[in-house]
Amino acid sequence: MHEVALDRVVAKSVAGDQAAIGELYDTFAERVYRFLLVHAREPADAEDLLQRTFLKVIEGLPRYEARGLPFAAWIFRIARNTVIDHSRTRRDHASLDAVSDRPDDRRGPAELAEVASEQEDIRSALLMLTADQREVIIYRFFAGLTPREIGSLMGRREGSIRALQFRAMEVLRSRLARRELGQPVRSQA
Amino acid sequence: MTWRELPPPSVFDRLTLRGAERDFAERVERAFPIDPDALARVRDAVLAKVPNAAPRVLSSPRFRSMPTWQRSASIAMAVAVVAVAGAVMAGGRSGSSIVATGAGVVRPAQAVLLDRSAARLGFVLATIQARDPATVATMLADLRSDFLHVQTALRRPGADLAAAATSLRVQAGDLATMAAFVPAADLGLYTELSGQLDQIIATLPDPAGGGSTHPGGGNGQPNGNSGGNGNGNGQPNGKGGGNGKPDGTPGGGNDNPNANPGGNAKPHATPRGTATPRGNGKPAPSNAGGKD
Repeated sequence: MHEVALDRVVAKSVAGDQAAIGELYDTFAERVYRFLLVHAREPADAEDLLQRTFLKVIEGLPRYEARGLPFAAWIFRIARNTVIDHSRTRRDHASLDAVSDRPDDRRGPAELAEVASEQEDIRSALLMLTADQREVIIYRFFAGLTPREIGSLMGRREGSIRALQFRAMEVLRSRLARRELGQPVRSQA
Repeated sequence: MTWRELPPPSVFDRLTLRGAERDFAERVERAFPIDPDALARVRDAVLAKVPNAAPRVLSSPRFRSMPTWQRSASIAMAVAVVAVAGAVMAGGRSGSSIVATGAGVVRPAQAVLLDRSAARLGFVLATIQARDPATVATMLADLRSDFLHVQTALRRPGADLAAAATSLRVQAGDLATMAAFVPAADLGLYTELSGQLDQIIATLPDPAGGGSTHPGGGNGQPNGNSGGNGNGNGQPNGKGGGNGKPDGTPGGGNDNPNANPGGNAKPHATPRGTATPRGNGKPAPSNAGGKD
């Protein structure tokens, strides 16, 4: 959605217009869902987190003021906080950090579905990144945020975000290419 | 080494990485597919909780198909109901029962939430009268969500429970008047809603009990014992209580004009008291020597 159109929808949503809130949901739901999916692992958890996120968004709308933070960044800040709250309350929740303690426990079984295997590849590749790089990649490719929006979320300049993304992509490309060739991969940490 | 110290990427690096980004984005989409059913479910659940009463009334197919005069009448009725609801709220707030004490200032968020549920109740009634069962069901569901928000707000520290109790009792009264008009299909939801409201009210102090929330009022506890050294006017419908000091010293202040030292409240018992004729002077379990 174009920024001006988005501003208009946001303004209507802040005023409590249900149709506008529906439009806002349609604009961001897929991206937020995918962002939550990579953190939650289980689709059911992602669905639950999606609902919680949007309820928080609606609850926070009356207090939303642009103040330099793009609306998309505001939504993903809420999504991120929702993930953090969720992982605090549920110890069995498989966050990226938790996965790093057991990187191989879901890898390799032939019976795993292709999608699950692909997910595991990507999660494992993400774990090769530094925390900042990983955050940038998730915001960029899962949440679909622009470097400017990511910058405002992470409190960094746009150029810094682009550089982090560039370095992260080098690592990911190398890691994922090796996995496709069946070569062993070694953590760069 | 920070990213600033790294050599700039070559043109070749840039080109190949651009391709890598595209590949990675495609892999992400394949590996983390969107479940449209999940999105739809969440959409329904989320939008059902959006407090947006007025546009729904106006946008209902039933409403659009009404003759102009009927639509005008519905709008006028809805406006009138909201005005009445607003007046009730404003009246309640201007009375001594909802004026802040030193510690318990009415929180704007709480007041807004209470206003919202009160206004929606008005709209529910208007919608019932406009014979739009589908919208009634949605609004009752929204009302349930409103009450949940209110319930949450009341758990926050500093919540003005006395104010909330007064407002919610008014709303419970309004809700009760609707019972006969709620469409049969929505009776289950309506009953659930009434139960929910009763449950919230049950957790709140009885405004008829002790200490006044008036600025000059005392600090008596809901059961009417101890505290209460102020000279406030009590609540308009106070039933006694909040008398005297815990040590029972004579002269212990009484924050309720309706109660006498022995707990046998009399309406208008004190020259200071400003209780309205609504005060029913119920005996309070006074345990001290308070005086009027």
